[in-house]
Amino acid sequence: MSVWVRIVVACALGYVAVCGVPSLPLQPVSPAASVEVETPGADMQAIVEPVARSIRSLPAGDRLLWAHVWSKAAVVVEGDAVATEVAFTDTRSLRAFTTLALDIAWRRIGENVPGSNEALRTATEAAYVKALGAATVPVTADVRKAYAEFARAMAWAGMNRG
Amino acid sequence: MAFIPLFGYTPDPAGAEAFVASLPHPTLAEAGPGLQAAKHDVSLSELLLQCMPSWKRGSQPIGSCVGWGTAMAVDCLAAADILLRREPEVWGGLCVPGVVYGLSRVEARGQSRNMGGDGSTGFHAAKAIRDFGTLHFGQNYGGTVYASPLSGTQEKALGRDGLPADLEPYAAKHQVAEVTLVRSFEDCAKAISNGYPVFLCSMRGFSMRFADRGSLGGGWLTPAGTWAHCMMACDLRWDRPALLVPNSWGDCYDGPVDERLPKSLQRSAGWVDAEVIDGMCKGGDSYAVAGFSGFAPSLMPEAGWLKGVL
Repeated sequence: MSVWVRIVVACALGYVAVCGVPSLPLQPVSPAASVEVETPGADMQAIVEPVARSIRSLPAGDRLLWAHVWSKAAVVVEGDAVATEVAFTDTRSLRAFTTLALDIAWRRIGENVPGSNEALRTATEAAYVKALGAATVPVTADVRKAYAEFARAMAWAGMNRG
Repeated sequence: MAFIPLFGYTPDPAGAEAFVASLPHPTLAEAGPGLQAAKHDVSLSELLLQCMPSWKRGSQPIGSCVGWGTAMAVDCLAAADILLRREPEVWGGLCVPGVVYGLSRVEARGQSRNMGGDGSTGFHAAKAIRDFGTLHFGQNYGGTVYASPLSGTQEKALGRDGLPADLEPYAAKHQVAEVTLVRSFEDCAKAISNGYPVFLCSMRGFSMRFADRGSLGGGWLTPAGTWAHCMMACDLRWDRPALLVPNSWGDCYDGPVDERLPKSLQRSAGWVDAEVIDGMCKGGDSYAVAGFSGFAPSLMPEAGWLKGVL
């Protein structure tokens, strides 16, 4: 330890001896360990049930990540076409957004290996098609609403049923 | 504003009367006895813009107004079918006005060629979209794609020779099931309120400068002169009963616009008072359209689309 470092440490200790331990600023609250989502209706619960089943065995952190992705996807889609130029013009663009969101969150950030849970993939694809169909149609307010409802149910499946 | 005001409506009252008499439901009262006019404002142009946010009114290159007015009515009808009636259809692009024009001059008249000058009638256009159908920009018809507005030469050729025989089967897939005469503003209001646009063929002309009506805003068309012209009507308002009537001359109008309208309509369409619409319909060659055979939605894959992600 150099002389200067010793002097700085001595000064710091002297300050504490005279003035006491300085009060430290409060640390920011850690990110929520759960995602608050309302319980979906019975029909939607039935649609996401296979997803819940396939995610149940995953670590809690992954299930939390899953819930976060879907609940945020709901917020994004619900907020489209409010005050800015519409981003999601047809259901093809909605599906592209969903794929990208899962790719970033689940594969890249969550470091989940694609193909490691085939049941989750097939259940997610099937649930999506059941809820939103496979036809390329314009995204209307009703479609946005249906998407948000489905995405929240997917989040609920991860948190509450997974 | 530099534009050439082209018309092209060639009235034929006797022919129109005979055509209307041949219709299964000649008038709106017979086609939709239960139809009621909305008590609120209605905008079918809004539906069109939802289906095609980049929509902008083009300019007829020759005396093909009948094709242009009718084609836009078909466009608004297609949008209403998709968004209002929730029919399982998707937007297939704008209807090609030159094709409607050509069909109305040749096929709808039972001719093989029409060597006459420019122009057509409302009833021939009605017959064209009902019996022969429509083609749309951007669609591939066995290698023929109408990618951009047709030139005057192309529209002239269609008006002279009609639709090439190899394209007729494609047009037949997108017909309008029903056309019916509108005889008054009230008829038009009922039709538009229920998602059925109208095209108006009349001799009514207008000033090219919008009038400002104070609290009602700008964008009002003042009757002036005579136009042998076809336009269409897509929106309805009640604060001062009127219809929004887009023209087919691009952004042609000058003066104070209706700021509440989308930019793409502000200078290409104007509000026409109810009593003026009554007069336009008196010519007996204006029609409401219903039942467009639209485009089936393309399907995305149901499975496998998350491979490589999940």
